[in-house]
Amino acid sequence: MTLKRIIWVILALAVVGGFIAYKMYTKPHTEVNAMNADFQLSAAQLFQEYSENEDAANAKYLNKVIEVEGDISVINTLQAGSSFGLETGDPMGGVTCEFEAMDATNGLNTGQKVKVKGFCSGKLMDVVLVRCSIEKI
Amino acid sequence: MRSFVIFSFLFLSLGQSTFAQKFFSKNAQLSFAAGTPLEKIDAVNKSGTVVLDITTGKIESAVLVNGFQFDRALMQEHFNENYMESAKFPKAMFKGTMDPKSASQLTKDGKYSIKVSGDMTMHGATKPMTTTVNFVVQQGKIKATTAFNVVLDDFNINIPSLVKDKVAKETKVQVDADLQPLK
Repeated sequence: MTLKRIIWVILALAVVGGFIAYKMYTKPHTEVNAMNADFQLSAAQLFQEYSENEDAANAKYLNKVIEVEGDISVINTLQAGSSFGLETGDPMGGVTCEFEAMDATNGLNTGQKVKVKGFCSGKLMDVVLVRCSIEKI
Repeated sequence: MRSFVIFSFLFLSLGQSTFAQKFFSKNAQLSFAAGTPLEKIDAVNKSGTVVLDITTGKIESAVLVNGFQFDRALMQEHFNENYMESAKFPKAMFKGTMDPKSASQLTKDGKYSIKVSGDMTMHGATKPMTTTVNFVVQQGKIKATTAFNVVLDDFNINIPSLVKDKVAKETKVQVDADLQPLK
């Protein structure tokens, strides 16, 4: 193999490698509405499981796609994106559903029943689902 | 006697409704900037919690590490899997106190800057931390904001040498919370 050829091979590899690296670097977020839910349950059920045993619930639900159904208890005003809380029967705890879009909660009212899909990120006061999408109003 | 009972009952219930002792938020915004001029690394968490007790001056805040949203999916993956190990350490929290005398001022409308000292726990490590929190009190609601730096080394967060120049050694953290009275 001539030196010239070796240089060409190295250059080609660099271009392909660079392209793959760029693709990985700029890969888009996995959108929840393109995925099937790993679990389907009511907001109250999800909250109860987390209240009873947080570690077990995290092992089961953390980062999984969860579809929850519940009544909207509160619509929050945020600086970035939007979110609402779902009723769980517990006065202090709910299920917070976060959206990346500012207008995702437009037209919704408290008391309304919704079905939401999102990635579970754990529990503080509320169980939090991030990058949500509304499945059914 | 009867009117006294009614009067004191009224007075008590009035007292309770106007002077809430505890305030909280479930949707505090916590953002950080860990970038360098080489790379922008910003992330936002929209569902942080804050609980403030204005009689004792205790304040607690927590955030789910998995809840931070980055522009780039790959960064978010690295943040969770390699740097913060969020499956193992899902929460980051701060527990602190302020002078109860300063905290008791927060019943009156106005602007206050109060020093808060406490412990920050994340990635399995706990370190003391002090910051100044700015409070704006208006009509029974409290808006709290603060900014502080976190040194990654303090919390055993290892950045691989390959990306060392792209990640700041100190991360700037900004917190914004609208606190509601806890009934």
